[in-house]
Amino acid sequence: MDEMSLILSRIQFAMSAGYHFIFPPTTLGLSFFIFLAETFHLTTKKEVYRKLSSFAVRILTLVFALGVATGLLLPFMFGMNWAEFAKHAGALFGVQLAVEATVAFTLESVFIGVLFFGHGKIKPFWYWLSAFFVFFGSHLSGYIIIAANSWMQTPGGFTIDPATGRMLMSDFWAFNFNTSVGIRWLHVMVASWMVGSFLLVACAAWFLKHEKDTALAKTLMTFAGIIALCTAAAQPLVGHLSTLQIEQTQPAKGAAMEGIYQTQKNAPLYALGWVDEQNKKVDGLPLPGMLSFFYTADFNYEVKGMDDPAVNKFGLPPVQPVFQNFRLMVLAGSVALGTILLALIFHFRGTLGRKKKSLTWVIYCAILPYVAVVTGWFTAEIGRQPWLIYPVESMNYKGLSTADALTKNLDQGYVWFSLIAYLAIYVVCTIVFLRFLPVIVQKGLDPQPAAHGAAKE
Amino acid sequence: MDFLNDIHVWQAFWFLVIGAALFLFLWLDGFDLGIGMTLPFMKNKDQRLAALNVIWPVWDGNELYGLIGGGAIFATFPVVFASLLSGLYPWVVLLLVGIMLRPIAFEAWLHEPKNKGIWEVLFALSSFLIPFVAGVALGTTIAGMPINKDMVWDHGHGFWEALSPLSVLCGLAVVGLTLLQGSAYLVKRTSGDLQAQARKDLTPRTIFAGATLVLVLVFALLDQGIFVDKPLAIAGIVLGLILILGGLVGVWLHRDEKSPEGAAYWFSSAVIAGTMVLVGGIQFPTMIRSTIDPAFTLTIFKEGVSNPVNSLALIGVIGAVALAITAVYSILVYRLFKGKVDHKSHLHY
Repeated sequence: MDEMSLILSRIQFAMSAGYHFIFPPTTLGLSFFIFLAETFHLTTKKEVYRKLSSFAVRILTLVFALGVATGLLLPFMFGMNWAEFAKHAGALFGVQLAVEATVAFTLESVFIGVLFFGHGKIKPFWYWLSAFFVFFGSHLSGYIIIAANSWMQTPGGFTIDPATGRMLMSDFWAFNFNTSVGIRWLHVMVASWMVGSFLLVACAAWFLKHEKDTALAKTLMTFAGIIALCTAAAQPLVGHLSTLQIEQTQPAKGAAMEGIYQTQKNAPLYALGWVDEQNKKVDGLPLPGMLSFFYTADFNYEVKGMDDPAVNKFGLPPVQPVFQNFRLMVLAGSVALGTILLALIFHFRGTLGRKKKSLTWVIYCAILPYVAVVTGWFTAEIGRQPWLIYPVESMNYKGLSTADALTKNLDQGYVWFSLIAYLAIYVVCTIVFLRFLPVIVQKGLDPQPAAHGAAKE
Repeated sequence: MDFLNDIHVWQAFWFLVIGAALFLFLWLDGFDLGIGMTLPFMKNKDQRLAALNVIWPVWDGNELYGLIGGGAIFATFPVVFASLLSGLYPWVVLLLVGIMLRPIAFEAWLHEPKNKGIWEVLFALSSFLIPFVAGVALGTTIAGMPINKDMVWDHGHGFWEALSPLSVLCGLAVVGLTLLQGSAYLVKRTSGDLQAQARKDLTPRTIFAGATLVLVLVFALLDQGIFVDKPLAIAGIVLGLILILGGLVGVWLHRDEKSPEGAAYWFSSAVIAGTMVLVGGIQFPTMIRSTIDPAFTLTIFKEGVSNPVNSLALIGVIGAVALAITAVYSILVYRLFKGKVDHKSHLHY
């Protein structure tokens, strides 16, 4: 096997999925907001909610287009770079992606068109229903994809073909309701609502800073800010439940996240640290006993370390990146929570924006949830290594290692070519996103009919 | 209902579904791509805006049928999916560049305040890459790839082997079909000088599409004379040719202003339908022909190529229900946006 092809293919997939993962959470968060705003509009008939929803729709169309552009190549990569995976798991994974495309993604993409063009063309109820379909379709799509990814962490619903060694589907529902999907889906959805609401809070702050559409901007700050606060506050709890799940089903990932090499009672939680993989220890700032306490509310709980055969029986992931990404995610989420809490306190006391600098900080904080979703995703996927599909002892399944999943005889030159081509596209995509997101925002919360997308007839 | 447990029935069913998805893609996204390639050659911004207004509400939904076709191959014949994409790796990269660039260029064009030219060129380039590479890939499955006994592209063979005369011609033919479809759809949906120009474009584009299709057929028969032994291939060729020739003549006869405005579009659609019937007849049950040894050819019935019957049936049922629902709301959305379009509809950037 060509070692370089493997490394390049892994870099390429991590880069592509990581880059793509900026857009879908934004789509999910915005569609959640739009659905809420349209529901308020339908029930209260207040025009202000429609204006806020239209503003979010204008951002959504840009984000959705870029999300589609960057997401389409991922399934192709399974055939190009990970052909052995495609063959090994195609009976389940391929089916799952096809279900996603036909059931969820079509729904979402067709009705986003209606949201953008449908003003004045359809009755309010049907417009609301379209908003619901976009919300429902995108969240269902998220579920189906997270289910597929969770299945790679905690496989179920399959048997092995004795003749070929390939996986066969035995139970579609056991695949889709695998052990880890519930909490992981919730974790990603709450993260997505955070992403969307913090982006809208940043827009509101921008309008306040530039004293444009201030009345509407204040409503947006209240509306999106409350969602941002609720999700940012709920996320630590949801994330905590996810770590409990990981400790049970993927103890190697859990131990790497916390940097626990030795099995111990009163296990520490490292607030900060640097992993010394050579000497199997962590230098940093330990909070004694806190990890044991977090897992069971009992300081005497014995946390299994990476030295325990029950933990390391399937090998260990690279500890440093898992450990650091996990901390970055928590840090980004915490700063976001603190910021939105303060911003809302000042907002409700009517003093937000006295100092323009504080608004600038709120604007830049829109980046934090993105940092959290990408680092969180890296934690989950690097923590899965060295496996692409995790082994299952109870089903006598040996797993599929990342190295074995690579296309056989994959030409290194091919991968260089695709890596550079995709990178070039991502540069163009980033330029477009960063140039035109401000253009859309600066048109304002209540642009004149001639300047915004909806046809008035 | 015994036949539902017969894996051959499901394998044939999926061959048809994949073909149908590719047809829907060429038929519907065909006009998006054809209009996209024409964009830089239009006379002014109003014409371009009108043309983009025609395609914007529907184009990503249309593209989805191509992805459903590709996804269906993954879900039902994973070995074919893996061999095709890893074998044609550099070509697929070009296809993906086109697929990614198109929505990016589209969004950028809308929001770019002044110099839109660069985005027009990129939009046209991506609208060319998608049908061309898709056509080359389709042609390569007919002309054959160096598939070895492990059912993958044999390591000793270079990527240029995908470029046989037949596969390049297939690429050009698919580009020709989409160009024709683009003009025909503009005639149906627009008015004024844009419509007049699209009418004029019909003549050269009919000739180009017809000529490339004839060359594809000639090369396919010269290259792979065995086709004619199969009754299904003959049926496919005959029925396909009737649709193609009828469609081309129909476009030709309806290119003037007195004809109904939608006529050229429906005849052009018949050409695409005929092409798919012809290809399907020639190919069935082959997915990828092997140039090394006919015994290595990947057919849908070959042992180990398809998923087992329960997977095929499951995704068949889910897919059928989902597509029926999709069809209903897609038609509703098409009706919502039907009628004549100009630079003042929908978009006001």
